[in-house]
Amino acid sequence: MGTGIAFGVHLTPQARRAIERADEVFYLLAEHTAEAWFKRLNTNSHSLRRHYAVGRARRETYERMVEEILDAVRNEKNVCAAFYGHPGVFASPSHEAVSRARADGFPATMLPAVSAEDCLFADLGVDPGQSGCQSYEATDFLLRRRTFDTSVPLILWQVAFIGITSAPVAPNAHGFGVLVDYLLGFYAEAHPAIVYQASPYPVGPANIGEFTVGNVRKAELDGMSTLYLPPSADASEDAEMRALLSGSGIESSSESL
Amino acid sequence: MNGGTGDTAALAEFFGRLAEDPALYNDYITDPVGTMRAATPTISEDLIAAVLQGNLRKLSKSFARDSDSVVILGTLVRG
Repeated sequence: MGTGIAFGVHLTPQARRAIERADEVFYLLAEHTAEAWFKRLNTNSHSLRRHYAVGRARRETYERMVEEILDAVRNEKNVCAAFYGHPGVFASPSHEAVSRARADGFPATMLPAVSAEDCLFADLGVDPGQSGCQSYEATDFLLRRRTFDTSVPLILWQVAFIGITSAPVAPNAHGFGVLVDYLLGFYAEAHPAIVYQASPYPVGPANIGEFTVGNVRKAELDGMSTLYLPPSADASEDAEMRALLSGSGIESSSESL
Repeated sequence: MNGGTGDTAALAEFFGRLAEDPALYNDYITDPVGTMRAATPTISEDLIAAVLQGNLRKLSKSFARDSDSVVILGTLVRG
């Protein structure tokens, strides 16, 4: 399950019950400040934070987390694994833990939670229903030159750690520079670029840095920084498709669609 | 436990109480500065400003332990 982004106030009643009734709880929270609060929910709670080590590959870090969780499951315990944000969004170890538990014959359920993307929609006033939404992990976006549409909002995650496979210690300015250069091939220098970070605390606003694609390189990135690019233009309608839809009785004004 | 001493430890405790105490949360919404000062008498003006302005970098640094690497939960990119 996930704790949401702002600790305490984003925790759903469903998730709280899962924590409280578990025999053993394993947790990974972004902020140390949240740990005292979290441990009060279930005194048999163990932090997964200790698996991070400078220089250790993230793949190995996540593997250690998954195996610690699975060891308790195999001991027939009622286990709850809590991760900050949404457990299924940008969270490899939670997916892996559920998958392995099921493969070993144990019932496992993932509970939804408030993700960083949910916070971004609220804080930046973005509605994916308006013109869609493209959301990519930044390294994957670059490595695979993902096809994208500049008339649709673009969200790029983990922009501070592009190309880093070990435990990150500091943002990778070089990787971010490569990303900006790439984006300048698709957007004008003056096009807005927002560096966003949701607040992990129960009160206080998000961090919203307003830049352009041309000058976003000077943004001070943090581990949780996300890059948001609004659409650069409206996509034109397809007349043939509109005609087809009109034939099905849908009104012709784009407002009504 | 929370990695801070003095006012940062008090602020961390205050955040934890906000998460569990609806009355305190309502007080904060009505009067953030007064509620913070009442709950954490040693808190500095600097930290109050950081909370109100959403200065996440300053707050995070205040709470961090020196030996920590950055905790990032993410997706492993294939390849």
